[in-house]
This record gives sequence, C-alpha cells and structure tokens, in this order.
Amino acid sequence: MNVLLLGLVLTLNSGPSNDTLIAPNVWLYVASRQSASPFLPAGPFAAKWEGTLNIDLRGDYAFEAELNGTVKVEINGVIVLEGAAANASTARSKTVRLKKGANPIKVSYISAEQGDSYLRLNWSDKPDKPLPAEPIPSALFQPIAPPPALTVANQLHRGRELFLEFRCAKCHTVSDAAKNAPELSMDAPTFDGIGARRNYGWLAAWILDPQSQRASAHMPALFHGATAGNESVAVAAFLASLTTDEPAKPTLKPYQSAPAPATGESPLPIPDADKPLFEKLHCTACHTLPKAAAEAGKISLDSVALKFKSDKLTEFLLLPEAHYAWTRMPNFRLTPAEGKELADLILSKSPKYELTAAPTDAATLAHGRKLVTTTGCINCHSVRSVKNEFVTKPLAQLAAAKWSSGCLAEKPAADSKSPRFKFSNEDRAALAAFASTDRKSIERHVPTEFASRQVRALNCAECHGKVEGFPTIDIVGGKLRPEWTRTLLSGGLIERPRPWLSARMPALSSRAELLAHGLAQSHGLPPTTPLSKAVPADAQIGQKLTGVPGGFSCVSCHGIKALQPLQVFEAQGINLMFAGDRLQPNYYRRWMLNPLRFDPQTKMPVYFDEDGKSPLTELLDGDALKQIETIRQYLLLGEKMPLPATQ
Amino acid sequence: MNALTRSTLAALFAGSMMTGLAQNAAEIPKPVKHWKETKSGLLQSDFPYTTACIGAKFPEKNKANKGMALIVGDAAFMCFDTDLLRFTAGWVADAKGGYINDKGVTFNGSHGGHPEIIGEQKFGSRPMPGWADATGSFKDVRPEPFGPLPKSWARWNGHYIVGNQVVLSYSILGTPILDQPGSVENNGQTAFTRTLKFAAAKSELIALICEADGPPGKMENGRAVIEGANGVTIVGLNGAPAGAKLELGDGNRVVLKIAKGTAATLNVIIWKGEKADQDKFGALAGGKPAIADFAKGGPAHWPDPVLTQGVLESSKTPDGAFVTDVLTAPDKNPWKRRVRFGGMDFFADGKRAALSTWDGDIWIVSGIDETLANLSWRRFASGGFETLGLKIVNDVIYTSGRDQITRYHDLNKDGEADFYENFNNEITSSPGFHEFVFDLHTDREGNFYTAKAGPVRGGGSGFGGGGGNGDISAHAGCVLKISKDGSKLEVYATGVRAPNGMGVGPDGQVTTGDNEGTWVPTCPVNWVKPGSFLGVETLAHEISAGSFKQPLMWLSKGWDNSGGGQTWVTSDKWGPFKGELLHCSYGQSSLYLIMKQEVGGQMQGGAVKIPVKFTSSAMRPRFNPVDGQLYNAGLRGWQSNAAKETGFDRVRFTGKTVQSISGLNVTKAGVQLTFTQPLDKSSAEDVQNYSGERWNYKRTSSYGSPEVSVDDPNKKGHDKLEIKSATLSADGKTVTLNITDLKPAMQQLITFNKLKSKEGAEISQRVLHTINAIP
Repeated sequence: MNVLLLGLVLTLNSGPSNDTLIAPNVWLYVASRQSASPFLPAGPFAAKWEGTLNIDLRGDYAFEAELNGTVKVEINGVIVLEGAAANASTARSKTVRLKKGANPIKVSYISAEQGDSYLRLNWSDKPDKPLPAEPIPSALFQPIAPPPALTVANQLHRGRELFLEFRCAKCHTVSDAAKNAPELSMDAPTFDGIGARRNYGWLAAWILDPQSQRASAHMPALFHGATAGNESVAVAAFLASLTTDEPAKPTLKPYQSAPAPATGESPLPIPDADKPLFEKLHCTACHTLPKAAAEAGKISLDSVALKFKSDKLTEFLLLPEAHYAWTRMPNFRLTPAEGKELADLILSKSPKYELTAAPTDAATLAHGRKLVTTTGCINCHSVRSVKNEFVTKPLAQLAAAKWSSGCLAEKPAADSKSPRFKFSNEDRAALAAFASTDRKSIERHVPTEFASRQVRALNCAECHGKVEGFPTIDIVGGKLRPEWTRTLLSGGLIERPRPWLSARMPALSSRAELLAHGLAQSHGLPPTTPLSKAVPADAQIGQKLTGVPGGFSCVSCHGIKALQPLQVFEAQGINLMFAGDRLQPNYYRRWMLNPLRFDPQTKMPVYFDEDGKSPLTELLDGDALKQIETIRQYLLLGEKMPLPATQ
Repeated sequence: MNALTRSTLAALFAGSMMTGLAQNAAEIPKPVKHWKETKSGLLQSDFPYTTACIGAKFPEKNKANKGMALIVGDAAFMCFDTDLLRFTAGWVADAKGGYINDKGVTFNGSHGGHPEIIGEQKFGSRPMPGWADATGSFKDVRPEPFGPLPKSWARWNGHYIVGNQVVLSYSILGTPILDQPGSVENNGQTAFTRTLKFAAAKSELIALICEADGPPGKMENGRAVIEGANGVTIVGLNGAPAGAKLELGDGNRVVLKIAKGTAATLNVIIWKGEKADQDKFGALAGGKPAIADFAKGGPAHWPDPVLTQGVLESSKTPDGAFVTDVLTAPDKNPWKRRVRFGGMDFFADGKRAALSTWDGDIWIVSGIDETLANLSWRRFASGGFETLGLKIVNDVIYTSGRDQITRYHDLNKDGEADFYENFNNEITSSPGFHEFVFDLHTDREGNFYTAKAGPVRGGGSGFGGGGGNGDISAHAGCVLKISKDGSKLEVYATGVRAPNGMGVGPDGQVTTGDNEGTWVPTCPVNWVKPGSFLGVETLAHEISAGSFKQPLMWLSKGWDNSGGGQTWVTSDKWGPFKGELLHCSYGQSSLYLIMKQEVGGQMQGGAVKIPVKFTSSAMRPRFNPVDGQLYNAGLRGWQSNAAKETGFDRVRFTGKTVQSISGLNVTKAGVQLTFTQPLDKSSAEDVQNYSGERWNYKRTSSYGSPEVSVDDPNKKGHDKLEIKSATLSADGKTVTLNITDLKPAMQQLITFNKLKSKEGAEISQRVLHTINAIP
C-alpha cells in the first residue's frame, strides 16, 4: 500500500488473487519474475486504476502511454487510448476535451507476455504544441470513493507488515527458500560485546518492559509475573558480562567537503552555520532531546546516558549499523569531531543517572545465560558460542483460529509465558486477517511496496518536502536514476551534491539497493537504467551551451568539477559534474524545458518556450529539445567534462 | 627609441639584475611582456581611464570608492578619488604586468571584490580629503566615509579628455582648479606629475600630495625627501611661484601650500626609487608646466562607426498586433568592447538613440527607421562607473553611474564627448559589489530620478558588513531625486533591494521594480510616493520601517524573478494602451501590461503578458517620441533567462486588433476583467472557461518567500478559487467573475482559456494580480 500519495484506486488481479490499493499515478513496473502485489502470485496479471482527473480549466489534452503490455484509457466514459505495445510508446491519442473539475478516469492494463510489465501514462496539456508528452501531475488524481475491498486489503497489508516488522518469523519459522521478503532477514542488535556498549541498568529495565522505555519498541516483554524482575536482572547481568566487543566494521567515509566558493572577499554565508549540529542535521525529525517535551512519533533521547556506556555514544553515532545492520538509525557520515559534538550535546542535556554495577556472581550469570538460550532471545539477537535451545511452532503450523492467543492474546493469562508485544486491537485484527490468507505474501518481495513501507518506517518525509533542498519523497523515484539512489543510500558518494546545505542525506546501507529499485519502480521506471556513452560531437555543443558567451551561462549558478559557480546568489545549483549520472533522462528533459512547473520556488529560470524554441537560435536551429539533449550528452562526461568558456 | 621598447628593455634589465649573477651566460631571461599584452581583455588600454572602486596596496585600507584608474604614461598609472579629490596612488607596471585587475561583478563577474592595482606602487595617500578645509584641516567631516566632501569645501566639476590626457576640474574653497595627472620618464626613471592650474586663490589652499613610510623626512631645496626602508621618495615642484611651496606634515605627509592670491600653472613631481638614483630626480623636474588644451575638445577616439542591420518581425503576439524588430547591437566592434546595454533614451529626432553600457561606454545609434537596414553605431564616451541609466534632456545625454550623474558635452561636435561634467555626485558608494545605480528618468518639472541598490552580500542574503560586501551607506537601497539643475540630491524613498529599473509617469508618478531577496518576498511593482518605505527593513534609513505599504502588485517567480524598468504608454500609435503602465521583467525577459485600480488611496493591480520575445532581457523600456513605438534595451549580467548578453528591440504595433484583457477591477463580489474587444456572450459567461487560485508570501529577513495559503498561512501552496459565475456587461467588454470568499491576497491568478471574442478570435490569457483592499 502506498500511503505517501493519494491518487487512484488500483485493483490488481491474477486468477483468484486480487489486491486493492491507492496508487499515486498510472505508473506500474513489475519485473518479469516479481509479483504485482505481495498478495498476487508472479505471472500474468491485470491492473485497473479508477478515480478522477481533476482539471482547473476546461481544455484540450492528448494521451499516450509507454508500456509493455496492453492498455485502455477511458475518460468521461469514452475510450481515449487503447492498444498493446511491446516496450514502446503508443501513438498519441486524439485531442480530448476535459471539463473543468472532475473527469472520471479508468485505466485498464494487462501484463506483458514476455519481459517486465510496465505502464506509464503520459499526457500533453498543450497538444497543439510540439513538446513531448509528460506524466500527469499526481496532484490531479483523486481516487473514487474507497471500495470495501480497499479496507480489506489495507488490513491484510497491515497484518503482513506487522508480521514482518515484529520479526514473527524469527520464531515461527518459514523455510529458507521462501525468504524473499527482505524483512525476513532483518536482524536485531547483536549480543556480542553488548556489555561493552550498554549499561547494565538500562539493559535490565529494557528487558523487563521495552515499551515502557520506548512505546514503538518491537521487542516484546519476555518475563512476566513475580519472577520477571529477577529474570530480567539475570539476563541483563549475563549480557553485561559479554564485554568482548568486536571491532566495528570499517565506517563509511565522511563526505568530502567541497572547496570554498571563489567569491573573493565575500564568502558565502553558510545557512544555519551557528545552529547546533543536532538541528543542522535535522535529528529532530525523529528524536527529542533529553528533558524536552515528548512529541508523538519521536524517540526521546532522555535515557541515552543510561543506555550507552559513557564513551560509546560517539562510536554509535559514527557507525549506527555496526552491531545492527537493519537499524532505523541512518549513518550521517559524520566526521569523528561531528560525532563527538553530537554526543556531547545530547549528554550535556541528559539527566544524570546513577549507574548500578551488574551482578557478577556465577549463579546470576548462569541463570541469565540459561534464560537467553531458552526464551527465544537469540532467535532475533545473535551471539557467538551460546546455543539456542528455544523452539516453537513454525508458521505453517499456526492455525488461523489460534491467532488470538499466545503472543496475540488480548489479555494474556497471568501464567502465560508468551512474549507480550502490546499490540493494539487493530493490530491483532490485522494479524488475524493475515493469518487467514495463504500467507504466501511474506514470501513475495514487491519493490514498490517495500519502498513505500520503508519510506514510512524511516520517517523520510520528516525531512523530504520539509527541509530546504530535500525534494518531496514522492518525486525522487522519477527524478533520480536508481543507480545513483543506491550509491547515495549506501554512502558511496564522495561529495555531497549540495554541500552548501547544512542538512545532509544519510546512508541506509542495508536498504540502499532495495529502496533504489522500489522508488524507481513506483514511477513505472525500471530498476536499472544503464547510461550510454556521450556522443562527442553533441557533448561539444552542450559544452558551448553551458558557457557564458553564446550559451545559457549555466555556470553562473552551477559549478562544474572544481570550477565554482561564477555568481551564486542564493541560488547555487548542483555541480553539473553529477547531473548526468544523477538524473533520469526524461526528468532532466522535463526539468530543463520548464523547471518552474516542477518547483515554483526554484531559482532556475525558464529558458525554452512552449513551441520548443530556444532563445539561442544560432545552435541546432534553436531547437529546445536538441539543445537540451546535447547538454545532457555533455553532462554524461561527468568527471571528464571539459570546462565551458566563462567570459 | 619608442616608449614601448624602452619600457620593455627596462623591465628586461631589471629582471636580469635580480638573477644575473647566478645565471649562466647562455640563459637569456624571458622577454617581459608589455602590460598591455597581459592586461585583462575586459579592460581597455586605449582610453585613458576606467572608473570603479579601486584598491591600492598602501597605505592600509586605501580604496577609492569612486576611483578613476588613469593611464598617465606608457607604463605609469594614477588613481583619482572623485569623492575626496585626492590621488590615492601612483604606480608603474612591473614584470607581472600593470594597471588594474578585472576583479568585480562588472568585469569578471565575481560577486565581491573590485579592481586592485597591478604593478609597483610608488606613492599613496590614506582615505582623507585631498585638500584641506578653510581652517587648514584635513579632518574628514563627512557623516560617514562615503560620498563627496561638502560642496563649500570641495566640488568636483568633472573632467576633460584630450586624446590620452585627462584634465580634472574641481573647485576648492571657491577657487577653480585644473589638475592634470601625468608622468615623465628619463634615465630609466619614472616620476608622476600633477599639473595644477589656478587663478588667484581665494584663500590659502593646501593640497595633499602623498605620504610615505620611514623616519621623518626633510625639506631640501624646496623638495620633500623621505628615505624609507624601500627607497627614497622625492616630491618637488616645477614652475611654482613664491606663493606655492611644499611642506612635510604628520606621518611624512607631503602637502602643497598655496598662499591666498597666488595664481600659477605648476607641476608637482613625485618620484620614488633607489637611493642611488636620487640624483636623477632633477632631470625629471624640468620643462614648462602646461595643461592640455581642452577647451575645444580633443581628437576622436573612435571615429569609425560600426554598421549593423536590423531584423524585422523577430517575434509576434498570437493576435499579430505586436511584433518585435531587432536593432542589432555593435557587439562585434574593433575595440572588442563588451556591449551590455544598461540605459537607453532617444534624441528628439527619434532617429537616434543613446545607449549606455554596464562597462561604462555610451553608444549612439542612428538610422532608426521603419527598415532598420542601416544602423550606424558610434562610440560617444567611455570610462563610466557602471552606467546603468541614461536620459536625454534637450538632446544632451545624462547617465547615472555609481559615482555620479554625468552630463556629457561634445565640445567640438566630432560625435564624442570631450567634457564629462559632474551633474551631481552626492550619491554615496562603498566598496560593495552590489551597489548598482539603476536607471535614470525625469519628471514633468525636469527633476531626475534614479535608484540605488542595497549592498547585498556575496551569497545573496543580507546587506553590507564591510569588505567586498560594502556598507549600508546613506543612499543604499534608496530611490533618489536630483533637482533639475543638479544642485541637490534627496532621498525620495527607501527600502529597495535591487531595483533594476524604474519609471516616472507623465504626471510624475514614480514606480520601481525590485528583486526577490532579503525582505523582498517576491518581485513587486512599487507605487512610490515621496517618503515611501518600500520594504527592506535593513535599508529603511530614517523612514520608519513600520510604514511599509503593500506594493501596486507582487509577481510570482514564473512571471518575474528580477524586475526591470517601467514605462508609461505615452503614444497613441501603440494600440489601445495609451496612458497605461508597462513593466519589464529582467529575469524572465518579459513585458507586462499593468492594470491599475485605486481603492481608498491604496493602489493595486494586475499584470498580463504581452508575449513578445526580446533579444536579451527586458530592462529599459522607452517610447520613441517620433514613431511612437516601444523600444527596449537589456543585458544579461546576472540571473536571467535572457538569450544574449545584450539586446535592443522595438515592439511595434502592427495595426491588427489587439485581443487581450486590458483592465482589471476588484469589486465586492469578485473580479471584473475588461477586454479590448466585445466577447461572445455564451463563451464569456461559461465558468468552465475560468480558473483561479491565490496565495500569499511572507515578508521576512529570509531570502524570498514560500508561497503559502491565504486561508492558512502555515500551509504551503495555493488555494483554489471557486468561481461561481461569469457575467458579461451590456457592452460585451467586461466579464464579472463572482468569486466565493474573495479576500485580500498578495497574489491571485486568474486563467481563462479559449474565450471567444464577438468576432470569433480566441483569447487565452493569465492574469496575475494583487488584492490589497476590496472596495
């Protein structure tokens, strides 16, 4: 379910299986061996989008689609586009007059017989003009009144997500062959060396009742009743004794800082330069500082001083994934000094805790060790040289009727040893609904569905669309090449594309590739977009067009490699060395044709007119699309771009 | 031996002396290039000066805010500060080159910084008055270190150009003085000269000559001799009568004292060199002092015209009513001068126009006729300090620059200016790169108006702070009014940021544009009254920042991201728009008709695009007094979608019917749109043909503003308008849109698509407007 955007009701069918969700746009990309939805098997499927296309002003439009498969588009009850295509665009439809307000739209699609199935519906809002068709702005779609099937489907998706996120399959196992959903492989913090990193007192409190420490904790309370306190103490004591810490894996390199802009005596002011790093990095998107008022959905850092051994917070901030690959805490590629600055700030605000020493007597440690081996801890947490003795029923043996007892009991019996997750009633109902399916959905990885869930779980929209320079998350898949997204998310970029911003995109290595694929496929785009080599003759024209004499003077605002922008005025653009590698070619073309249509706040001027004419008439007959493409060819040279003339 | 060879050899010799002993005889030092070969191509060496803020190497903080960097010999240079009437420095080329560098926004485009001298500086003076006041004091009494000295003390009159000689003219304590900088060379030595000419001095006068480092100097035979660690400085006189003598003052300052009643033409000779060469001074101090004969003007520098051919109908509006014609600029010229038009006006015959450039030139184009087939461009003047405004009054050219309003006189009628008269130089200028003085207009009474930008910092945010960012001086961010006779400059309005263009209506109404930035949420069209505060709090000066009133209208980025000038349609040969206001967008290179409405004393209005295309930006619109057509000159110097670095175009009315909205009025119920033609009733009254949205901006110290909901200021984005009905008036020309919950909005956009005129023409337009008040 894509909760990011409200668009159209999308119904997916494959034989008797179906799914219903809200899709942002008429975009779909299903790789040949993937499913269109976790609730559909791989193989042939049909898709149907329904809703309204809301137009401000009566006008004429034409539609076309890029696809592999068969499509039919009906607007206002009239078929405007119909046909099959194998990895091609349809012809442009006849001009369709749309009325002001809501125009009912229905798009039907049947998957391709061969290869990946995809559909991208495009339109031209000026069909009498020669410019290429483009995606319909998602904001113009509204779903039809939600059908009952959507409520049912939403609950199933929720149940599946809970099953995955709470790592149910760590105990109620599925066969290894079925582990296609990446989350089935999600880890939990390792116990190896945990005693060197965490304080005993925090461990004991956390083990006793994780949700009292953090309401959103996925870890259940494992010990109940009169013995719970002692058992938690014993486990914590045992864990505190595991002090042989593995050296952390090599960290990602901090971003290289860009060279200082060459603006003579007027250095560029750094926005927010005097704000603390905690604010500059927007840590507040997910956290509240110690002693600060609680905010819904944010993790309080109140107990950080209790949790972390005094010198370990900096280490954690520098490499959050060192002992927990799937941690939601991203890697900000901090310098050691930045790590220390952040840690010092958080600790300086923290309440003072009296740290209690862990019991070290043999009996307690043995008790703790026994509990760790027998209560399922190491079904999720790894630890060397401790053998897991906990077994429970595999998923296949859990009858749906029983999904209201044990872990899922609303009111567990006092003597129940089942872990307690504190699920809400809605959660339990969703899990029960999921239980009553064939449960094969957890074996299916659907990149778009994965991406939309992760985007939500990782709070991406707390920065994207809110923080200057961070595009709304719903456009990134259509904007960035997935290869670039993957490199960015895996921490592989050497420089920040926008080094003048105080915020920065952190790395999320465990999810980098999966997110990159999912975000692109959400826009109907393939998970890989190989680049062709630049055509030298075209690149040369592009170079000229980028320069000052006879060109657009792009270098006024954009740097190229080490050449700093000539006249930055609150309007620095991204270093053009990155652009070819970074942008989806179609996005680049649409942006160049009219950047203001994408971003009314952009300082990039509009150079080309609706007739596809460039103001520079001396090159390529003033043909906007040709000029834009030659600039792209130049950009494709990346680090090998020769510099354009600047005077 | 000609000068070039002599200088080259001297430099060669100096080079070999430094390294000669260690050198193998076979190694010949590389020939040193003459400075003219190594200077920036953006600077000219065949005109005797360049005006800019000029930095010198010593004394500390020695900048001429309004500096004429003068070429006074083959490889000798002096800088004259027209605010303080002092020579800030004298220097010679060295092995690394000479003259000044091309640092700064006008030259190499860099934001921050200004030209600095290149070469070996021989003398200097700290920023202080160049002449003592009536009490004999050099104390700087200006309220801030910007702008000229009080007129009763020192008045800069301007300068004459005779070939490569420049004669500076000013008055000190009522005594007119001519001051001609120069140099003499002899025996491999270069000395700087000031030839001073004055009739009987009305009081004792004391001129600052220079100052030098070192232990206290001494007077020897009327010469000042100062021995410092880096050589000896000698200042002497030639041709001086008894009443004129040199003296040494504080800190080895050399001054020239002229007794009351003394008249003279004398030379001051300033030399600095090795002690061993001290005896060569005498040979530099000979000859009969004389001022160049300037009264009849000098020979022409640029006698040959540049011929270009215009292009007719380079673009046209969809209704065919307006077309553009290109007046091809002389950007390819024998002097390799960069042509970026910043000011333009017509002579009375309408066949000729004068255009000033950002680089300080003035061009006169003749041959403006229907065909534009024979355009002839003559360079008329050069050396100006960012002359971004030009006005012609009684066929005399005036420009506005960062230093002054200049009035140009062609004394010998050879088509070039000989006397560059200071009409008024009271404007303040600090070293900031963003202190543009934009545009020049006159009102009915003949008073002049110009607008000075605020000293925006290098990155675009905030103002001033010193260094290359400049300071908030008295006139920063002000609209200025200069009296008809040039005797008085006053602040007319404050609080503008970068008003690259203004307008003065036939009734004297002043308007300006501005550029989004700190305290400017988006580009406005300002309706300016005397004493208006136009919004930039940091540049409010003595006008209360609290008195901000909404502008005539705001324009969102896609319409205007950097304002140009305005003009009023004074012609009845330009379609149906006589009496209307036009606004140019520099950033979007677009022309707009502004539709105005007054509600309870507050102006408001809307814009509709006249969709013609310009060769460069839309910046300086003017109507030709004879053909009655609109002309526009523009440049591309900073962010703009302008295609070319400069352009000069005509927007010509073809006589075809204009199919456009021509009026906009907000009423209680909604918005009235008036068209040039009667509309088809069924089309006009179909609400399906109209849409609308509205939004606000936030005027803060941040750069620009997000677009936020009018209904909920915390929500980004636009509110859609509900247009309930459209009603056509009896004459068929006015549609009243009934809009639900109409309220004041900084920005409202109304779009109509495929409306039909009664005669069947299709009209699709967008109208952007501001509702300050609902009647």
